[in-house]
Amino acid sequence: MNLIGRRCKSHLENMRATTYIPHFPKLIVCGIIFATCNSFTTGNVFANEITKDDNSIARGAYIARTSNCISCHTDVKDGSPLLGGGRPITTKFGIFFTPNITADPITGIGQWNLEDFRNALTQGVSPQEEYYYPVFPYTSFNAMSTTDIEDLWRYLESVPTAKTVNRKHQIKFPFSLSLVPRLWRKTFFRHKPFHFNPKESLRWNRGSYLVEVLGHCHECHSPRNFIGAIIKKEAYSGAKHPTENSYIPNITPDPTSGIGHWDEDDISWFLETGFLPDGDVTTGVMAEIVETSTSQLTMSDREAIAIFLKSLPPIENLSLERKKKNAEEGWQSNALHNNN
Amino acid sequence: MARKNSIIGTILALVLFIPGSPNPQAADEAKDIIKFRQNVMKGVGAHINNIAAVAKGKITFQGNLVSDAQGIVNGLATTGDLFPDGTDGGKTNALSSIWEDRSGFEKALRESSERAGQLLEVIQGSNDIKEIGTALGALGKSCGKCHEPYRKKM
Repeated sequence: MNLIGRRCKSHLENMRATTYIPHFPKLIVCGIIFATCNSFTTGNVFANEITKDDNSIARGAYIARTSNCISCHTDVKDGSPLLGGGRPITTKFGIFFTPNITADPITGIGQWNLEDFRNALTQGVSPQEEYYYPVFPYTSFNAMSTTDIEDLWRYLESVPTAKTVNRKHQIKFPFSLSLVPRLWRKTFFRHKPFHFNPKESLRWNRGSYLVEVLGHCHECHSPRNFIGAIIKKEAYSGAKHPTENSYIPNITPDPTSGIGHWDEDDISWFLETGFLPDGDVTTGVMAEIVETSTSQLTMSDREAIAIFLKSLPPIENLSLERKKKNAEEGWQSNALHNNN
Repeated sequence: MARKNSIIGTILALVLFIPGSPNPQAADEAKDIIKFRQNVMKGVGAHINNIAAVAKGKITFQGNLVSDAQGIVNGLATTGDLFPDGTDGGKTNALSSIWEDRSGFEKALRESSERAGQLLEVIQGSNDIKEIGTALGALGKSCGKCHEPYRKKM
């Protein structure tokens, strides 16, 4: 009960610090608080074997893996240090270089405090009031639990500092104007605390938190509009790769264009090993994510992800380009088939 | 004299019936080779799947493990031969980098063959599904090292 009380209190504090809707009716706020607190009486969706660990740093390391911090903020190809940044992320708006998020006071985020970190992670605003481009998924991390943010912060403080100097993004004009991410945020970003769905099981809710918040799967697996905002009603239905002539798979349970023919076990096996149900393996960024993130989760978390993904509404989404490609090459319309 | 004739006969027979350099594909059509190698790969995938079913604990029957592992070893042993010159066009996802960087391709294939051999050894020496799963995972990673640089992205 104490734990529940403490969590609710810290959640309240978090809401005070981060809610960006000043005239939000009090009744609704109370409702949300009640619903969120109530979720803890039905079980703690943020808990798993790792979070039972007393060591905040160990728990934070798990959050860092789950949230893919390591994969994006480490330039593996260049052999750069862990979380030292510098990894290029190519988008149609230009090339972004991930920053150094080690605790180095000059090159990293060593001069930040927890509140700065929370703001950056969940609001997309740096301590210098710079607005982040949504290539950094603060839009998903916005709903991260207070405890997870604190643990992640403790973990980042514990990582050996890296001297890697941040590289300037190479963003195309007019997207390079500092006004752009600010306007983008105002238009598309809404504060959205994690919503515990009492109609679903605790594991489903855990899966929802892992997929939608920590793992931010939809950030890649969804089509985006011309200005890079996710088309919500088509979330998880796959997208054309922003720069390569390839497709990011539809991960809704649609039987033809999605993963409807995978069962939950296939999904958790895939997340553990990278093997697709036809015996082929994933490659590219997903192979990296399997290696640095999903293969290192607990089995129970991988299963929770599978439960949640299988519950998504199936969306048939074969892009025009994909249909054309299939027709030209006379292939089956399954993006995951193997053709050597 | 008879002895001399017999020696000449033997030499002639050897010259005539000596196996030619093994290049039966010269006469085969590219599209058929492509289909053929796709089937070999699908076969390897099917064997992997069967071992995966056991490693996941979905299938408790272990009677096919050795033959499945042997199937992967056999399939990978000939894979390199199934990408001769002139088979880079048509309905294939094989990238031209295979022919431009043949040694890199062969090296990646060799690694997969080694991993497949190790998987077979593990299966022959143990019935522990965890160990089998680990060896299978290592094989999977090596598959990716070939698919990543030498196969078109989907």
